[in-house]
Amino acid sequence: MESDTNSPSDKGIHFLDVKSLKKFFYSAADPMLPVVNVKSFTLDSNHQLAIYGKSGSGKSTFLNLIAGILRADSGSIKLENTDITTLSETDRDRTRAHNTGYVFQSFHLLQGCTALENVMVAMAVNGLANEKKARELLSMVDMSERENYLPLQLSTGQQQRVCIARALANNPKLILADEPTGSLDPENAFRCIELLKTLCRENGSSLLVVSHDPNVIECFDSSINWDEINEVDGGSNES
Amino acid sequence: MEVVMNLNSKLGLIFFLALKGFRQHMFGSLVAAFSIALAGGLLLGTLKIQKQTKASFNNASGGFDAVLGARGSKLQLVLNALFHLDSSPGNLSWEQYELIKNTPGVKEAYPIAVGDNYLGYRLVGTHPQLFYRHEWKKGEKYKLQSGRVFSEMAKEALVGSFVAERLKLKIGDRFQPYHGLNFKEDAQHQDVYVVVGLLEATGTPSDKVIWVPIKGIQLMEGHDAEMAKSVSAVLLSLRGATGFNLEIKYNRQGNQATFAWPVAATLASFFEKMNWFRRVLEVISYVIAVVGILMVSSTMRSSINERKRDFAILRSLGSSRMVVTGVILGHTFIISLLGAVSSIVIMQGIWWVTESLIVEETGVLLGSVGLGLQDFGVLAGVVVTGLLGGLWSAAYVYRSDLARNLQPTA
Repeated sequence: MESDTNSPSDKGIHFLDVKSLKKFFYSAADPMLPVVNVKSFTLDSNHQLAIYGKSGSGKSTFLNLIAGILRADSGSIKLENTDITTLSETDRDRTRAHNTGYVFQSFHLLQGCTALENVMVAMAVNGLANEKKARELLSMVDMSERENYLPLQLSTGQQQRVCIARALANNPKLILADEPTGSLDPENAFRCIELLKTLCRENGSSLLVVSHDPNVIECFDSSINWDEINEVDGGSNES
Repeated sequence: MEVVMNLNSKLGLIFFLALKGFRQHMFGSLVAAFSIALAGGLLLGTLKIQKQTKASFNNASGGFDAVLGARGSKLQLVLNALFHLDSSPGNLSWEQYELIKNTPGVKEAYPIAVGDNYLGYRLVGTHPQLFYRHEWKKGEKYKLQSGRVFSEMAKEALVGSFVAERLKLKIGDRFQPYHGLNFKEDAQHQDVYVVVGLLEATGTPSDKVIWVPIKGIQLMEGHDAEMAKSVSAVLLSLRGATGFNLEIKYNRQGNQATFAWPVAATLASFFEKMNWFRRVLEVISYVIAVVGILMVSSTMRSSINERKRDFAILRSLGSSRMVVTGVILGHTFIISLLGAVSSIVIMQGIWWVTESLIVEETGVLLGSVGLGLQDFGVLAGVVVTGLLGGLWSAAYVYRSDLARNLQPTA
């Protein structure tokens, strides 16, 4: 199902175009548990969209499929007209490094690296480590003074800001945010979403956020109910 | 920022993250490196000490080609006469000394007599010409730190450097020797000797000896009258094929004396007998190497348990499986390299202790230890051994499920 809030481009070519995407998980109890079954989903360049839905309904799996972290069982995910479902794992890694920034609920910062090093490593994965730019990014998220702090020395709000700076490190065309405010208090959650939106706009990146938090959804002009695009019967199906 | 390596190269990124891992798991990593170092150090030490000991003992034979002594073991004869170890196999008559001394082809012949000590250090009676004429090493004659060589008929002593240092003997000191090769307090002779000279160090067993005139030992109060007409052994320098002829004469045709020639061959048989000890040390070092592999393996395994998420994060950022596997191997490599470098330090320690013991027991100086091509082979082996310990963990990381390790914990 294609959402109204998803504005397709005039030529019918979308920045992100998902078709007939299916993902099953396999377990002893249920050999083929359907988790994701999205017939159609699109996102255009520089667009910001929130997907809302209850926890454990497959939203994170959907993001992981788009990021190429998981491999789809069937269907296609075209990112700038490249179908990542047909790519080898190495090419998916490369595509992810070039095109995608990821913001996680639990930040996922490298614990042994300082804030600055976390941003630098993300750049280095792409072969574009640049200390000056990393400092600028941390300055943009107001973390300059703590760039040499380890994650454990930072508050959750600060960690999430580092995570946002890291997601933007390689000027990705797409930022995926999985419950980005899940670990934050309401005030920090609001600031985090606004920061993310602003920086994505300034950077020219598309933003796709999934959340179960209505307050997050309210921050977006465009939003979509996950249950409307994911045609899976039954209850919880998160892996 | 402490990032100094080029993060934009894959190898730079791998080693940067490997170094971070090393720091995060410093204690385990150091213990693993130490266990590898212990194995490498022991193996390296065993190989080098054996090689150097052989060379040093061959060089420490005092510049003599052969030893003539009483009928018995050649090895005992050489150890007793040249290295001042072990007991004397018996005595030779003075006539036999005179006979071999005058044999054509015999360049030098010095009689020695043993049987007394001073506070555990052997008194060796010989001819003073030994210290004027003989080259204990090619081109090297004995040199005096101070004083002079003893006179042939006087109760005078020339003290080896090691003994002088240990017993704090100086020119003019007087002492009464003890009977026997081992020190027994109640076996002191009445004769009083005076120190007239101190020898410079040679790094050979002669440093551990108090040299006296042969007549001094032969005529020492309390000695058997027969001893005055005999010698313990004759130290020989030979010309051309004389050794071969004398070997036939004394060992195959005669039954009165033993002719130990060439000295190096006799010593080689000694080291062959000691080979079992080297093998034991080698086996121990291999066992320690296995422990080292297990230690590295255990350290890396516990490290990846804590770093699964870090690796998943790296993958989510776009790192390939090869890069995260490389981080584990890089961490293992750092441990192994540290182990290899430390094994040189441990080898030096083993060398120092062994050298002290050998000097203490024999007076033979092993000399300085350097690294040869073979040693670098051993060190490379140490690194490879360490890497073996990380392979399992690296394979585990390579196969690990990226998405599963990214599940939120908060």
